[in-house]
Amino acid sequence: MACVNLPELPLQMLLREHPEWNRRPAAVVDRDHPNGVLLWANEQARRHRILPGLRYATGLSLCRDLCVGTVSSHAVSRTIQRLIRLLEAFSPCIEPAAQEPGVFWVVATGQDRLRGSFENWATTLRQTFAQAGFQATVAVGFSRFGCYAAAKTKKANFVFRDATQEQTHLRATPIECLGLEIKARDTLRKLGVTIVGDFIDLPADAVHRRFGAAAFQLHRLARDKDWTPLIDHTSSEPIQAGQVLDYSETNFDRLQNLLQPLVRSILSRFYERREALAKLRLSLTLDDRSNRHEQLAPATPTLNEQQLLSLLRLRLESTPFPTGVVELKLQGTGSPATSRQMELFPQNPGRDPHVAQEALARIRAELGNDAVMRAQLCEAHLPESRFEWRAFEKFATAQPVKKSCRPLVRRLFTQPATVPARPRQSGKWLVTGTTDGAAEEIIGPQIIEGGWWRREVSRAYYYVRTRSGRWLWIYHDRKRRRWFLHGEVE
Amino acid sequence: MRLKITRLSCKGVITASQLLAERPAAIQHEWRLESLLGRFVEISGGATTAALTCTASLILQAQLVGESAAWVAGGSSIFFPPDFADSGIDLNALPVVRAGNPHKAARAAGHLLRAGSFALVVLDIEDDSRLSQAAQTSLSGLAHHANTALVCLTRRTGFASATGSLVSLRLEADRARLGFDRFRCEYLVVKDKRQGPGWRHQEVCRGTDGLC
Repeated sequence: MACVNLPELPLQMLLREHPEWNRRPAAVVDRDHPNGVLLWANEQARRHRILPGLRYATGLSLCRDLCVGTVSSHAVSRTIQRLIRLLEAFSPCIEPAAQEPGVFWVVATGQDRLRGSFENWATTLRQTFAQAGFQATVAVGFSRFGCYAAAKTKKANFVFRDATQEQTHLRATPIECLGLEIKARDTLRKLGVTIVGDFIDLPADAVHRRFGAAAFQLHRLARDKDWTPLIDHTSSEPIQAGQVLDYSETNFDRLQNLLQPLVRSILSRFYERREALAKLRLSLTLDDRSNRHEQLAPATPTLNEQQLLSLLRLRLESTPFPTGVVELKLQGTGSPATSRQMELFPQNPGRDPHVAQEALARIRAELGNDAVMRAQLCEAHLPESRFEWRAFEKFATAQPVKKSCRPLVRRLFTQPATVPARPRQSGKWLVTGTTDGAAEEIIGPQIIEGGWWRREVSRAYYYVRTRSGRWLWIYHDRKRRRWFLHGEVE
Repeated sequence: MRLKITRLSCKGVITASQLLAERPAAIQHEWRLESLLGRFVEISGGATTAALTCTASLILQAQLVGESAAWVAGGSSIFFPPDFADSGIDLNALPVVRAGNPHKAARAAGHLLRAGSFALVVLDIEDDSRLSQAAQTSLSGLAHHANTALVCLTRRTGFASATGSLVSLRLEADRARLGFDRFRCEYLVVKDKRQGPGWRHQEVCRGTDGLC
């Protein structure tokens, strides 16, 4: 793991545009107006006590030579994309920090063997950035936050030899490097918490209560509680979606309805890659076998579905087709999305859980209150006791778990059906009659006993494969001395 | 006729059966819930069906992307919830409508589709029971309008579809044992109005508790 830090990236971008400002006080403002707020300031400006957070007018009153400029978020996104392309020569997996432009986490595993040592690798990387006109610091370590802290504090490249050294350095890092809010930082200083080690030792609940969610999140990161694997941003492969129509479509409205799910699909996949759509290519196959290609680009990379659909509609209306459309293809090219875009993009556009609740209420009214349920798992041995049905009251955010290898799923019969007893001799066992043939393979028994305090149950469960291939799930009730079909593997 | 086909084969002409046999290997479509949105899908299978396992993968996909899924049971059997939980599905976010019979199940599915708030509605109807043509027309229209995948589980094989011509995609889910505790689930698309039939998707699953 390594962290590459380009300190105050927007300021570096501004100074690259205006090299004559390098020796003068310079700052980035959010808007070119006397009331604009200074976001980043260079060393010369800081000497005049011009600090981020001041108004432009205040800065001018402190130093008349102050030079300021704005840097758009789009320009920052483009630069980050360019820097990722530079980093691709040094690592197979790169993740830019969502909240802090100029910070990248990269996988450095194996680079010491390729380049001789991690120091050589970091030096070459830094030189490459310098040639591109950017200052960078590289820290190689073992954890995200440890590398981040080192890259933020060190002026030169740094390589940790072991995790203990990294932890020691992390604990000694001043809390100013954490990016805490000024108010929270000042409060911490008053409490005598000046280094990250002291901050980590604070109880998590207290941090959340006194300093808010942002500080709590930082606290968890510093404790390495929120570790996540790197999300690779090197692959900027275009995303495609298409649809073949059963008929020739000539109506623009219907065509737009067909395009909507395709656009939504592309945007959701860009969202998963933390990218926004920068270019959209529409390919139409017409009924006369001719093809038409249209290229669209929104003003800025976007995840806004309606904006893209309106652009598509305008383009389609401006170029009428001689015949109907029989195939649609969309291809989107992405660029890194800003954190604001990621917040705004809804996970499931158009799906309203409140309307779903209303639909479930209608079903309850029609079929009875017990018609809409949810399964709740229970600690028990008998299959029918391993879950119970409870009323489905409201939609909660699903928390599924992705499994590398899922199991087959059984179908459970509400009322177990009686089946013929297993022949004592070596005869054929026709469990479900002659339709599925005789049992060819039997796995079991799996003995389940219990309920002795109420009504004793003793069952021997078997999986039986019939000649037709069905895997039946049957049991022998030892008390009743009868066989039952309880389920089936599907 | 058989003689003619044999002669054509001898001359190096590829027959239709050969084409169908070779096509699945060449075409590898991605099995994603997104490709089923707005469509009426029938998942069927015979004795070796893996319809529930296939449907579980769709529900999991829906939940992983933050979408809602619902289950409408129209028969006397239902999925075994611990197996769904073992597949990674969050049961608390999966409403199950126990309608009792296919007719009521179709009406309940209509309510869910009309809401437009679900990405996936599974209609698990009783064996050998057919949905009426009117119900199918209504449901497929609602699914298209709501951009919802309506998945109907049936137990038919071959060309004897339990549902009618309104089905946009029909697949047969089949399973086969590969070895110890490993089963191959194969989903063969026998009808696809958009991309054409013949493509298939495979995944390897493990056995249920005790089946290995």
